[in-house]
Formats: sequence, C-alpha cells, structure tokens
Amino acid sequence: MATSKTKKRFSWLISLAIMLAASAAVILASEGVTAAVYGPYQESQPVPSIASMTEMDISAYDTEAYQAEMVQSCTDESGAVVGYAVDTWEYGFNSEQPIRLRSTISTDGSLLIGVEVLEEHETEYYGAQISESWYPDRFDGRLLPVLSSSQSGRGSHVDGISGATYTCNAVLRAVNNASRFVTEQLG
Amino acid sequence: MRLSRKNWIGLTAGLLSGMLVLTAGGCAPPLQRFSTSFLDVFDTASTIVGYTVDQQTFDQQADDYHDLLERYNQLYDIYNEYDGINNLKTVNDNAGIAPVTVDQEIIDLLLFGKEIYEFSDGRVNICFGSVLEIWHDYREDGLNHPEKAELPPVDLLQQAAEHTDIDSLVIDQQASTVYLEDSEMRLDVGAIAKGYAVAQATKTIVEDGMENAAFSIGGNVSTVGWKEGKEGNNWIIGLENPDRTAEDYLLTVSISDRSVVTSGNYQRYYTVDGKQYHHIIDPDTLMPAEYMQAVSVIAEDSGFADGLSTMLFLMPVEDGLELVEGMDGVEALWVDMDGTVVTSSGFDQYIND
Repeated sequence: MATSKTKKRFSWLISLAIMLAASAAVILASEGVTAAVYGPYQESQPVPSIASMTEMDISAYDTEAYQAEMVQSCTDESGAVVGYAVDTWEYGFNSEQPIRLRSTISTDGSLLIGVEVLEEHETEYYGAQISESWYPDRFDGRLLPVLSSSQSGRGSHVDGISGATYTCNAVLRAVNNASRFVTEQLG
Repeated sequence: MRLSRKNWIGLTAGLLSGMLVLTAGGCAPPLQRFSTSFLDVFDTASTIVGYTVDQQTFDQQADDYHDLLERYNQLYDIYNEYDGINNLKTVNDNAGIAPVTVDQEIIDLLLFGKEIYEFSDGRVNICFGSVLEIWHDYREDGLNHPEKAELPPVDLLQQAAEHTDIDSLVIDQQASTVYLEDSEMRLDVGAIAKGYAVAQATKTIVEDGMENAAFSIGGNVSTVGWKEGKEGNNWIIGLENPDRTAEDYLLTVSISDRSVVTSGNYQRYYTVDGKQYHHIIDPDTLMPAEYMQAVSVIAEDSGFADGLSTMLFLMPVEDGLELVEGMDGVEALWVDMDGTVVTSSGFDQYIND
C-alpha cells in the first residue's frame, strides 16, 4: 500500500470523500450508476443523466500522478458534456492486485455522479466486505448521511454519524484521485 | 403633479423608515444548508454540515476547519514526518536521546493525555505506544496475508509493557520541549488525539464566526448551535450499529453543543483462526478488551468524550455505568457482547424519537 500514507492536500471541493458512500453504494450493489452528490452542495442539486460516453485522448495529461488509466467524456441527451468518467486504480488489502474503479464526476468537479467497481481481488482478504451485500448500505449511512440524494429516507434527516473509527480504504483514494484529475488536469 | 419640498421630505422619510423596517424585520437572508467531506485527515472520512447565509461563507469556514484539522493531524502523527515541523514521530524517534522542541498544540495534547491517564487510573495511557505498535504491525501483516495472520507473542507484548510508564514522559512547558526518558517508550495518542483536535478546531472556528454546524470526523461528532440555525432545533446524530448486517442506525440522538464519540470493536480488526482481534488493547491483559461491542459517550467536550469512550470500552459495563452515573453532563450507551443495549439514566433525554 505504497500510497496509503501519502498525505496529499487536495482541493476541498473535490474532497469527495463522500464519494465513498456513493462509491460503495454503487460498487457492488448495482450494475448501473447511482446518483450521489458530494462536496459543498445544495441538497436539491440536480444530478445530470448520461446518455453516451466517448474515450478521450489523455496522453498530454499527467495521468501517472493520479493513477488514472482511461478517461471518457460523458454527454447528456442534448449532446452537452456533463461529466467525465475516470478510471483509476489503487491497492486495497490485496497488495498484489489493485482495485480498479470508474468514477463519474461532473465537469466542474463538484459532483460525484457515480462509481463503479471495474475489478477487485479483495475477496479473500479483509477487503472482502466490498463484495458483501450490506456494504453499500453501510457506506451510505456512514459517509453520505446528508449527501445522498436518494429517497431512501435513511440519513435524510441525519446530520452526522458516530461510530467506531473507520480507516479509509482504497476505494476512497481511487475516487479521490479521479476527482483530482478532473479538477486539476481537465479543469 | 409636482412634489413640493415638504412632500419630498415626507416621501424620503417614508422610504427610509420602510427600509429600516425591512432590514430589521423579515429581510435577514435565510440560512441554507451546506455540506462537504474530505478524506485526508486522521485516516478517516469526515463530513461537515452547516447552515450559513451563502455557500461562500460555508466554504471559507469549512476550508479553515479542514486546515486546522490538517495541522493537528500532522502534529499528532506518529507514522509520518512533515517538512518543517516536529511532531510526535519526532518525539518518538528521539526517545532516550534528546528533548524535542514542539508547538504548544503538542504540549497541550500531552498534558491532556496525562489528565486522562489520572482520571482513568491508567487505562487510557498515551505512553502505551510500544505495545500498540506490536499489535499494529501484526494486524497489518495479518490483513495483508490473512492466511498467515497470527497473534503477537505474549512475551514480546510483556517486554514492551515494561516501557509504558507515563512518568517517563517529561514535558517542559517553559522550554516547550517533550522528552521520553525511556528509549523503548513510544507515544500513541490514538485514544484521544482525534477528539481533542476536533474540540480545539471547533472552538477556533466558532470564535471565527461559524454558528451552526455539525462536524463528523471519522465517527467522532461535535456540534455547535442549532440545526437550520433555529434555536431549540437539535442536530440529529445516528449511532452506528455494531451489527453490520443491520440496515439502520442503532438509534439516533438529538443534541446541541454536545459531542458524541463511539469506541467499538467492529471496524479496525483482523482475524486469526476465525476469531476477530480489534485495536483497543487492555493494558492489564495486553489483549483486545472483550467487555462489549461498542460504547458511545455524549459530553460537551469532544476530547474528553473520546478519552472516556476508550476508558469505558476497557472496563466492564456495570463498572462504567456506575462511573458515568456519578458524573455531571455525561451520558453513555453500551452495546454488550450479545447485543443488549444499556444506557445511563440520563441518556433517554437525548434519544430522538
């Protein structure tokens, strides 16, 4: 876990921590992309819907620093670019095979539209929880209490969560890198 | 029609008084809810919810808060070095070698650590780092290679426990130095640092004008003012359910100008021979405490709540209950090993129906 201890200062807006929640939610729970928001936002902030995606040429960008492998621009029904889908990798508990995530982030970097797990080999490890069905809910409650735009009801009126200390996992770092790539390289 | 001078004066006066009424009355801009999160402090996920007149105000305050926490995080870090500062890692690295000049924030934390040590009869000991380090290493190895996960050898733990005497932590307030006289001793402030940092940062940000906010820093919640800025409208905080298959919170509490801190066995642990070993180590047995699954403390000060939750986690529920009943302004909720919930007598007032 070479990067787990690196303390990078990232822009606040981006600190999508939240994504976690989202991320997780999406992670295994569903095939599709779940709407979630993070960053300073209004709870009523609309989440764009994505109609199509096109791979971008990112050879001119510094992808290495963000562990980014592929970026696609996302357009809505009208053809307007509303976000970027950034594929990043990060080591989880399995120090030999990384997790690969696709984080879809609005063009201004203010909104996490969705997160998808492309590849993970955590199953035999501690990170196996990533593949358990309750995992998404857990993320939702813990990290996105007020950020989730879903109608689930849970968390909709909750302002914080008190629980045992939670250590950031690879998912968080991977999503965070993706959002930084959008704001620092594409923005 | 032409306005006479008199008319003008009347009109102007009318307009002015109208404006005054508007300003004093209903024209204060409504407060809006904002929220932000970040991942780069205390190895955990943090969320701030606040009510301000506009986003710019919120962003500025949230950014300031983040910067405060980032600084505390660096100062209290025992694993990483940072350019230009002496932190607790520097102090540990100089154990038995030389006193280290440190910032006041470190002195204050360590003094607080000594208070908690006294208060907890030695259960919460910031000089317990040599033992915790061994558990940390075995846990990390066990997580990376679960098939080879093992427990630390008892004699190794016992040797380390010889080097946990808090009197060997020498704080010179005059010279602003800290020195570990015992070269084998290590500081580990994990039981109090986050709560203490949150308390200090919250104090600072309130002085700087933030009025209504809830700060959740990795499960450590601190609140100021009121939800929506409406007096009497408490913040609603969910208590994590130790039963990780449960779909909802254990319960929610309703608080204002209070902190909630939880210690539990269900997040940071590793598995050896099918049994889970978490990270809160009993100084008597040198093994993870097994009195309960979790305990949550509600108190005014988040630093104290943090230390107390660890202390309660390290003692039988009945003993902790007796202790809390004897304290003012503190309530607690325990989830014992079989999932039974026990609360102190005043806890009910906080339960959100």
